[in-house]
Amino acid sequence: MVLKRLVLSAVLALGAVSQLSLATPASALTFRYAFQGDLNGLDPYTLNETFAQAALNNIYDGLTRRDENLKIVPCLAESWEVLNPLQWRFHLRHGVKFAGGEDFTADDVLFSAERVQQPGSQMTTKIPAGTKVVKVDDYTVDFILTTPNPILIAEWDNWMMMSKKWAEANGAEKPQAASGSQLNAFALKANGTGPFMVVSHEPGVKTVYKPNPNWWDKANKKFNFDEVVFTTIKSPATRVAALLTGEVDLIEPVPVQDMQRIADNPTTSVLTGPELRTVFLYMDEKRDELLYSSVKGKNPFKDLRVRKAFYEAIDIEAIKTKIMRGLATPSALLIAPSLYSRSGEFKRLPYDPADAKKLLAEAGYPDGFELTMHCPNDRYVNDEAICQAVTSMLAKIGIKATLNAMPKAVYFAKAGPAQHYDVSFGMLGWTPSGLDSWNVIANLAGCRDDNGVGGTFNYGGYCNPKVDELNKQILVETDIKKRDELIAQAYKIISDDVGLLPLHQQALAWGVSKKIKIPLRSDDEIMFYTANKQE
Amino acid sequence: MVDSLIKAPRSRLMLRLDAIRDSHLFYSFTRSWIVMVAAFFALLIVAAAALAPLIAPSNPLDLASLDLMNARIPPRWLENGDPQFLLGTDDQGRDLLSALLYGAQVSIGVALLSTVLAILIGVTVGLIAGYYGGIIDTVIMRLTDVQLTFPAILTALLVNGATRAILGDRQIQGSEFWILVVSIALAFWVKYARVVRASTLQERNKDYVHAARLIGVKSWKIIVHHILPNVLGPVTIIGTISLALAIITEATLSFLGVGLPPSHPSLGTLVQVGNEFLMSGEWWIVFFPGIVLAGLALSVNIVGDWLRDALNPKLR
Repeated sequence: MVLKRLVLSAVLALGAVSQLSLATPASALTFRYAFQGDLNGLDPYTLNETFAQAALNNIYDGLTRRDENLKIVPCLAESWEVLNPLQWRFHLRHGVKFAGGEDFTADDVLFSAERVQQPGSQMTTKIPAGTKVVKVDDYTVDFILTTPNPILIAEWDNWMMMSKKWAEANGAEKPQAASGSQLNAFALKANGTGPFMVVSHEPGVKTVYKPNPNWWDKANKKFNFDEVVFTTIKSPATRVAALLTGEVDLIEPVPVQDMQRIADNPTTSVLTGPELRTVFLYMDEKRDELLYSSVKGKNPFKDLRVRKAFYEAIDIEAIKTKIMRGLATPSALLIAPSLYSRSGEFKRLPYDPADAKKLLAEAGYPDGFELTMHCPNDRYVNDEAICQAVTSMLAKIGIKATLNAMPKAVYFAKAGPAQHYDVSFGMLGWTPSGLDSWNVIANLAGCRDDNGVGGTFNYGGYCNPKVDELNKQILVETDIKKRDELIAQAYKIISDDVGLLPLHQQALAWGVSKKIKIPLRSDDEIMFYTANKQE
Repeated sequence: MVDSLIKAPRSRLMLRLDAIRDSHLFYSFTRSWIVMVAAFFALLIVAAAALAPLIAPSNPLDLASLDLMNARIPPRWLENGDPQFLLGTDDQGRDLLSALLYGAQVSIGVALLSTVLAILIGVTVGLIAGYYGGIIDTVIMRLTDVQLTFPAILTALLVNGATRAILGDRQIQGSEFWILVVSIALAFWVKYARVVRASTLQERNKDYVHAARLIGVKSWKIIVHHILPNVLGPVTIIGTISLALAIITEATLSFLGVGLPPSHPSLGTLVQVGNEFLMSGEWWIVFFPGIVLAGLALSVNIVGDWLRDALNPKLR
């Protein structure tokens, strides 16, 4: 009898416990956000793209990080000192563990430094060529440079530290290449020291994160949710609907045509600010014969007059008012005005289709020519619409451009080094991760070969050795005034060459639920570990 | 009927018309006003689409004629409307009425050509399977069974994707139209094949076929000259109904982004473009293409349904 009662109460108690454990997930707080494009692999060295880097920065840490005002602050390196202009010493944080449980030590830094420079990595510029990384002890690392580099650590928030042990155990010694149509098994997993870890990842569909119990910086924890769900919602209207109905807490980007509606809705608001990203067009100036074109045997873009004609054909004000609905700042430079003090000195070429036609005629193309324009359709604000507008503007000067717009995952592989820059004319956007002109010039205007060594994101292959020479000086110059002068000279050459065709800085806009508090970062990185959600 | 023939000698054309007027088909046509309205609407759109270059206010395919500053102008009768653009403009400043006319042309073109191609494939395969029987028949019919387990749109997507992958980026430009035609045709041929096979099975055992065989007529001649004319009846009916399906399939593929590009829009592409502005108050960009598409598909379908009933001897 007693036994029976005991069993009964035990069963009841078990029931209660199981009910409790069932109840917990229901009350768990989830932060949901949606972006227009995919998060493909989770290897932090695969794709040098803001969105992917930001998503991974919630999992991985760099030696440094940037705070809400984009100031560089210590992260996995507690402090650092410049022993001499060619030797930097980093003191690593003690007691840091990866999500997998491994201790973070100097060996991981050495491993990450080696891995980031392997073929397939798009982050090779994070470490200047020829740099030696030396382990002093388990928590001290020296970087020995070949030339002085005042901005060595400017981009290290996006050079994420990987665990050597984990990488070796998972066969991840070499980075997943962006061209790989197939993801390696390790690229579906992640193991960082950051605030979150990945629960599940379906490329292009959904990624679920949960807090990393091993996170070293729990004392400064701001987020209060137990789970983060990221989904790709490609269609702008669907993305807006998801936010308005409360299905997601944050969407990015907000279609410009729907900003008012989201702002007027009582439960949502729009966070806006100037974005650091510059959207521009590139032209293949490298090949001897243009791909995808009616012109055979030569490359019209090698002629300055043709490049100038393209520039003058673009009615940037119409793009601003009609496509961007005012939410863009036309730009003469490849960098946002707030990142370069002397931007004001540069002016765009005027919109002048008549002169553009004349230039084309002088260059030997009085009837224009045909070519294909490649654009992403899920990366920048209204990217495809802008490209469509550009093709119709070019049509007015006789250039018959056929638009081929594609999802960014396909586009970046095709237009980039992975497929040897298989494009002749297209669109790209760039936010310098060091927030500095050196990065812009090195990545977008530095000479490169067909495999992307050099200016990896110089899709058009523009090359002027003078620019490269100036940029070498820019890298090592420590006097701000002199440095700005060198930068001005480099920009002047690029502008005179019409090496690239700047369009505008798009306005930054995140649509958020009013339950969410999140600082809007002008580098457009969604750091959800700095967010907070009202229950 | 006899009276009218006796009354006066009539020309051959008039006799034809009389025959049509007196036919059962015409009678049943005049009995249903829905069918008349549908037929009228379908004809109207087809005619407008065919005459698009003549009646459209502008040529939406000519990129040079677009002015971005005209983007997103509402229809003429609304505030801020522009008399130049009766139904308003899209996000690139394209006149929506012109885009609709040209878009309908593309949509109908794809639907018609793909249906014709599907009939060609289906009838040929069906005749061969039905006439020769045996292992050929078994193999072909199991193949059709497999394909019937997939929804047509899935097959079309598959063929479309495979063709694009094989052709590669460079060859696709400009051939999107034909890729669509082929992928839709390959999704729809099965129905014809099965129906034709069934009819062929009946026909080939009839006396006239035996007779032809006895006097040594070649197989292909028997198939083409004797059997084919007798199995075409059901094919025309399925063809009409499938036409509506083909229109919808084309629109779906274009809406999904694997159809025609925005620079050469079909109705589906126009709906896709307009869809982005659905939540933004600029309803006309999606509304008009949507209405035309729905109206066209519905009316073709109604006509097809009526044709099926009217030609069905059991329902007479």
